Amino acid sequence: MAIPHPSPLFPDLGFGLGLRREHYQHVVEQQPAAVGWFEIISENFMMPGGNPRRVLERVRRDHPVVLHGVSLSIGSTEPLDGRYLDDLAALARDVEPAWVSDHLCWGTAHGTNAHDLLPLPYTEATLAHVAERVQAVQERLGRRILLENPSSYLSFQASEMGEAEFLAELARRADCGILLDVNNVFVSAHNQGLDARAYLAAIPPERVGQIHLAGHSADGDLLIDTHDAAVCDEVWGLFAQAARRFGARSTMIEWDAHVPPFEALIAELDRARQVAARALAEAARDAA
Amino acid sequence: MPPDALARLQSDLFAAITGLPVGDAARAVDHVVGDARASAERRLQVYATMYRLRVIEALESQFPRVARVLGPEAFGAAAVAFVAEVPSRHPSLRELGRGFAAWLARDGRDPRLPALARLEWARADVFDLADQPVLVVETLRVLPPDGCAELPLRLIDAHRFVDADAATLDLWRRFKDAAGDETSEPTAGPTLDPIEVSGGALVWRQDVFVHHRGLSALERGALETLAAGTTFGAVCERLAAGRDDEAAATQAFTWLSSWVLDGLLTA
Repeated sequence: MAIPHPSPLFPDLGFGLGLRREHYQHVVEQQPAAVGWFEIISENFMMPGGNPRRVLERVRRDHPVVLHGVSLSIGSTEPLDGRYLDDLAALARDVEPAWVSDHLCWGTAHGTNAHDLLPLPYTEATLAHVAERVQAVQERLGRRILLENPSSYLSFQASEMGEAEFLAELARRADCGILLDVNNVFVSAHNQGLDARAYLAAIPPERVGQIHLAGHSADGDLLIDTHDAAVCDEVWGLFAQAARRFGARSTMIEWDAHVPPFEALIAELDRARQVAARALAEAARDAA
Repeated sequence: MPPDALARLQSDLFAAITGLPVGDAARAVDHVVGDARASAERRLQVYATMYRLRVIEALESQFPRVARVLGPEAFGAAAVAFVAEVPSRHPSLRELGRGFAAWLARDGRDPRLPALARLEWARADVFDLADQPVLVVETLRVLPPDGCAELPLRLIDAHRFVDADAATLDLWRRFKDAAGDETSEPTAGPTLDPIEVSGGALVWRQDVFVHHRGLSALERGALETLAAGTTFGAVCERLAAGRDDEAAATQAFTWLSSWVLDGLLTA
């Protein structure tokens, strides 16, 4: 195996956290140096002022910030929401994030919003549709975006290719980046009886700009992406494989429900650092 | 897959997940792969359950006291019925509850709820409006003796007038205990004088804290004038109409003092 290279498209920011309301005060008061950067949910800051914007301005003084959206609905057959894109562009102008990301999904139909990250049928027609919309968004924002693989609990009869192949080709055609959620890979692979390691092998390393890690829970035979627990051992193992394949990539922990004390998140982040360092050392040794 | 097939698939799936009549919900299962781990129906049900829980959780966070008055089961049913009639049309879940108070009024399941919901929504609504510089006591102190009358005043944008009565404000307050901590059941306590709430309630944000209090009809009139921008002299004149000048001036200065201390005014 060759030594993995840095991303030619996105800087390596190190190890970061999602900025969540439960920790606003701690982050503002402590400006924790153990956190290299913060990811914010774009929609939570698309307002003119108030406490969220104050916190964001304060955090941005000392840390790089990236914007992560949940409402772009890039795969919908509804027209792109121009007002939403204007608000996103305005937020990006204010925050000057390292990058902007959203999900490979859809969540709107007939003018209404399910506020979910629904999966797509992976067909050539869908690929052409989504690629065109990604290019339109990138032109509107004046920057390359990243799209995250969603966690999914179903797949479609109409699919003609796997999700990883779809995402890889989409990134090539639309010239966008990939936010690889390792937990989502694990959850979706479990739910659909797929090989998570083969998924990673189908993702082009040069397109991966960011990695998500998170916890999940079980609902009967299915795994649900709940972001309410520590990263499990299997996902740490998959992350090690991702680090060996993709190299050093900006990596963060997502924890959105039953949010633990900040120190617990730092401990998870430290473990991510250790797993990545070990994996990169192994990759270097294998290549020697 | 034909060009319009993706739109049809999304309409069917959306209908099955949300219950909204935007597609053929029964046909959704035909699009989905079922296997030994889970049937197509079960897989769709995961999304439908998450949708229902998501809207209930979002509305509960925006209307915590309405949720406590109703209890979990009845509030969940109300939330689901609400989004079936008034589905989200905004990219942010933050906007989901904008029509909830009006829906509760039409629904009529509990006469106490619409005003309580209006109050809770107003509190959520002012939370992240734009920050503005506020008039501070020091500014008033350095004014020349006759400078107060010409002092330009405007109510901050982060405010809302809410049509609510004393019973509504009492109900809101009773979900706090003596120490000020939130309670799941209403506590006993003194009731407000209805005259103090004859003008409804004022909700506003000061720094990062959201407040509300009852308004007399007289003070609401003065504050509504301030919302459009005026001078302190004009407030005094309005107050003096048909009243003793000295009493009106005393009242106006009392209000000005409390408005400034509450961070309600911008120059």
